[in-house]
Amino acid sequence: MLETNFSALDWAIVGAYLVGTVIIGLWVNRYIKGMGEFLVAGRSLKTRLGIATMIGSELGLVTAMFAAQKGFSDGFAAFHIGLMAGIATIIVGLTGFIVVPLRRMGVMTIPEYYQKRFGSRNLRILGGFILAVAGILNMGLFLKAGAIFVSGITGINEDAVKWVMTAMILLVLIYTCLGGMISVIITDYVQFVVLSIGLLVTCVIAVKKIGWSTLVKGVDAIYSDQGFNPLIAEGIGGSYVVWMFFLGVISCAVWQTAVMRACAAESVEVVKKMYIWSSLGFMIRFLIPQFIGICALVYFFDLGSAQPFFDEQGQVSNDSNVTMKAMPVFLGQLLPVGLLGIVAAGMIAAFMSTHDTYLLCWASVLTEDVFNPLKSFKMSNRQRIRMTRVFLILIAAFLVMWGLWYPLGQDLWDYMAVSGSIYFTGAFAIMMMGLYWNKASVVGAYSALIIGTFSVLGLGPVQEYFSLKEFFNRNGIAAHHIGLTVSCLAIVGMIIMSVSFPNKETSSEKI
Amino acid sequence: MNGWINFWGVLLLVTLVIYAVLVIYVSIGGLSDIRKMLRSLSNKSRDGSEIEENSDSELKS
Repeated sequence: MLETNFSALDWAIVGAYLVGTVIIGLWVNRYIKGMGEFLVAGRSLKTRLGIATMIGSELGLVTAMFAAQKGFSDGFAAFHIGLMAGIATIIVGLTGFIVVPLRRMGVMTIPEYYQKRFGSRNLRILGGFILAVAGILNMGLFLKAGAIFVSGITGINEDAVKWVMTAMILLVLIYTCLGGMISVIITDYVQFVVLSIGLLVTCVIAVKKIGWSTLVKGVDAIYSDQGFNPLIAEGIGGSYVVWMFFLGVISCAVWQTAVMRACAAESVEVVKKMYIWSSLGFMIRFLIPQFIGICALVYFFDLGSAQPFFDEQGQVSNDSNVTMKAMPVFLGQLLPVGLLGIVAAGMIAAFMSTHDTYLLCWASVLTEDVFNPLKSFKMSNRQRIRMTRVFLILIAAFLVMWGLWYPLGQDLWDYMAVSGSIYFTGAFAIMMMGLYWNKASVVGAYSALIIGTFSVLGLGPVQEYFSLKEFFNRNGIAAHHIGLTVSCLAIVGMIIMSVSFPNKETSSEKI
Repeated sequence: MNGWINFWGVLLLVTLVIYAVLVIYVSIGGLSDIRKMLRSLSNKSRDGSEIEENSDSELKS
């Protein structure tokens, strides 16, 4: 077992925090009057709360884990991910790219936009199905990341942690089922405040303990130039940086959880302000954990080879489960009693907050965009809320199974990027062309969605299943090359098919 | 390499300082926004919210 400062006081802080969060969820249940309150909080979100909830849902434990892992694996060069995310979000905020027209249309989900724009209910159903599948796969390893964090920071056995995490999922289900988006917003706010303060203090303590010049020298000794310059082809490489910029645009403008926040905003002006200010959050959600990951890298490197993160030659471990554990173990050894409990509570609350946002998001997409359209929109409010709650439970059960079964085999961030791209490569083409090109047609939209699903080839186990792994390795084709290529093909495919098969004046599928 | 070290160092420092200010501003302002949101939700009548929420009924017609 790895050494940690985690004590009974820290456990008490974590327990009190979690109980308080659930009580909030139960308390706001009184404000739920219909689907509008349940999904988008009655569209009553104002700027400051919007910023807090937007950052709160994105700055989660899982984000901290994969970002810290990137810092541990790539050194300072990993900062380019946060930089690209910040630049992309501020561009979206200033221009209103995609999110402002979406808010003006008054939709609640992206597949609903498909139907409004292209007049096809079937397109909405297919888009909703692909979105939900990609989204659920994308969050498939959240539980595993959470278990590794709790095990690393508290020092308890990883098998025992799985039961703790399953219990936490149940808590999330209770307050999300009851409180919907209102409880999600309030718990996101609380988590934003606690976790932000905890992480800022952690950065200060880490720099004081290790020292900036030691950090720089340590990264230089381990990774040389590649640890600082992301454009070196032998390290990260320019194409990966481009992929990160594209993901930055996707994360804030096309990813359903961020779009839900834009749709919940009071007005178009609030949407723009939310994005401009949240750009800092989108950057910081990578920078702070990556910096802590870098501190962990140098801290453990200086300790020598008597710990699991380096091999006997002093090389960083290739096992992604091991490198993911570096940040929580480092926090467990760095922070004093009390502060450790607050940071752990903030992280675990962030874990729950991310789960509630994502669970609600995918469950509502399945209800609103797959099953309600299949029943010709004849489901009552009560039936829709009940079905959303059933999906919340089913998805949570799936997550427990998937988290235990799936072999990661790549950095968590890369797994999430690829699984998400099954949806967003096609969706980006449809949204961009649909919002800014009058001739975009329903056939073009179908083709973009179908082409987008080929992004699944970026996942290691899928490559192995189709015997493509060796081919990709031999030709130096990485997951981000596949993602970028599929994204371009989806746009090209949509243009060609829209020109070849334009929309007819009257369509039997028209709303 | 020194250029990159300085760039990342300045980027980290500047964003941490701005973020610290943002956290204080949003923490205080967010509380007041929560109060307004809850007040607005409790003032909405059931009939009003029914009309607003079910945009799908408009899609059908």
